[in-house]
Amino acid sequence: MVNGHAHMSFAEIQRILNRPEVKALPKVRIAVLRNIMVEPLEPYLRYCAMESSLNADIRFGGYDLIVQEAAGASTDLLTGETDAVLVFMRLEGLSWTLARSFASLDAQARESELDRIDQLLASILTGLRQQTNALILFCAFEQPMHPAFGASDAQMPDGQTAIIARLNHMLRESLGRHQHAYLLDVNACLARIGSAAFYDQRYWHIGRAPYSRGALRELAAESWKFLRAVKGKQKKCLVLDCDNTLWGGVVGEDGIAGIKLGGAYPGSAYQEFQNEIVNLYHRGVIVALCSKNNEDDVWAVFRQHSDMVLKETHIASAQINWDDKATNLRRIAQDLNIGLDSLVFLDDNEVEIELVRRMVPEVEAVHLPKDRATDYRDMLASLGLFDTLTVNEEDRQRGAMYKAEGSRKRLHEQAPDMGSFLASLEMVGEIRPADAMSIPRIAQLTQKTNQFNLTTRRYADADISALAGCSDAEVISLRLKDKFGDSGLVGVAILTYAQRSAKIDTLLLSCRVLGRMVEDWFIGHLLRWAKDRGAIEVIGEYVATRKNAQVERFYEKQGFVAMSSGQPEGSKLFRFDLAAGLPVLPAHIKLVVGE
Amino acid sequence: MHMNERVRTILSHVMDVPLDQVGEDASTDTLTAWDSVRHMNLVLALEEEFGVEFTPDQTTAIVSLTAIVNALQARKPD
Repeated sequence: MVNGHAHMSFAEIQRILNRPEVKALPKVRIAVLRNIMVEPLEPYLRYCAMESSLNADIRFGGYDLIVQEAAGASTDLLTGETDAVLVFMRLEGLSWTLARSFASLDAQARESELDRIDQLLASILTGLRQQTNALILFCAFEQPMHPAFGASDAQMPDGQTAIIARLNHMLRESLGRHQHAYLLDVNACLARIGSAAFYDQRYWHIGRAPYSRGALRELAAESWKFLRAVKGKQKKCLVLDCDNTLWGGVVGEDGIAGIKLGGAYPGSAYQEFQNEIVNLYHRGVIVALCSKNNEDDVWAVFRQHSDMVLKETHIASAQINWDDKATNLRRIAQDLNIGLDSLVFLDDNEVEIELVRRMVPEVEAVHLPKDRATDYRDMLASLGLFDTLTVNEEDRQRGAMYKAEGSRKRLHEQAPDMGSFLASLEMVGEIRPADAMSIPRIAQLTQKTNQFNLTTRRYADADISALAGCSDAEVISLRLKDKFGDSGLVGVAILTYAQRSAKIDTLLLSCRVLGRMVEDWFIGHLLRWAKDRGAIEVIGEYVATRKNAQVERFYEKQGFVAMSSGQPEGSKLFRFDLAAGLPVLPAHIKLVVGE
Repeated sequence: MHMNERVRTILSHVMDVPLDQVGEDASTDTLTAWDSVRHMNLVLALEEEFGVEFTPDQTTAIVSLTAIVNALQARKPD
């Protein structure tokens, strides 16, 4: 359950985390640098990790040693295995005068403090980056509860409120100069629970621990939004019930004119909820319907009700029938070619939610309490389950892409055979080395792709940049389009070279292009690519995960020969002898080579 | 459950030691896991479990099972 710990006591959380099965989950390693005591963050963060089936191994740096540790003073805090670095650098410890004696500062002293901090932030980030390519999450500076100049502070261009906003702007800019470094929005956390609940002044004075349990819970959840994305555990698709979820009432009984939607309460609540769904759509979340209705009734509402904010064009897949919802959710996942664990299902009916939780526990099922439609919008907005590290053009167009996928499916159903279907798509593939524009999307694909992914190595932007710039490695991207539209960057291969042997470190394809023999075409070109570079053999690797069984025999099907070697359990190597000739390329995709 | 037992259970969870190792004489001297960080977690857990808020002085003084129970009883007579 999302944020299941929201109603759980601290002792209860600790008891659950002490269970051996939690300690046995795969690790996510987090280092925390800080100038405050923030240790009680650990159980909350570990609980978030547990909900993503991970066990967080959290190491705290020394108290107030951020600068030293960023410069490499501690050898065991940041290692090659570190997944994330959290930095809590509270303004009180960084500049007491800006935080607490602001009114005493003249303009010159203030500006020199800002300059000092700017330089310090830059050197901390550079130092961290020299030690690790891990995600960096830097906590923003808190806005004061009671600004230095009281009521007039907010009117002043150089009041404490304005200056702290400037500090946060500086921090954001500084983070922006590094890849994979982000701002942790402490002020959003603060606003959600209110400053009175955010601070525990007792522990600030006793042990330099400023934050309350509620604050730490909130900060852990906020941090986990980034880590969830880094670990590829973020959700992709929002599946919605219709009656009493998208609108009030039951369309089959109340009719289109009788349902509550738009206008005043309660219809306004459903309309705002729909508005939030459309916002998610524009961020790249796939939207689907799963409801027990007569299908015609639902589409009639979509087409005829003037207050529908959610439109038919937003819906990538729909199962509107009287079958059980577990079956329908499986169909939606299959239809969209995504995993069940990519789905978030929203329903007002507790029985349906329970059924889904029991039958398809991979799906995140969220109950919308019937009498609280006014809260639906906030509930949806607060989930944070769909959050990505960055929102790129690819994300923004995903909805349209999945819609195009529906058109392809229908064409496929009408086509006499697979060959003529593929030929009729008029596909064009562009293969080119990674560049500054494509690196974020390439990294994102390595983080998110689970099914057609031979080795499932997760890379950050910085890793991809490093590989792309390395003389004995190549990062190759595949873009695909067809007559229904541009699918964007959908394939990645990373080749490493040693003497005249090329090894495929990474080979993945977005699930949205599977089933079109793109993989046969892509590997055929990769073999030619390696040969052009002088390789005489290509070594493919398969590393088994819970989700990539479909590619277990991929290399063998492509004419690679399994190698007997002392590979670790779950990993296999395959060899393709380039001297023995190249496979015939499928003719249904036209090649464009980019430089 | 008797207050003593409830506090021992919380001590066991927060310190991550088996309940039978949390004796009647449990204190920062007898439990090596009871460091300053776990002490902070302990106070948070006790406050939640008993619905109380310790004063700043109490939070630094409750470093044994006896002291915790005394502090809780002073605030919330059973």
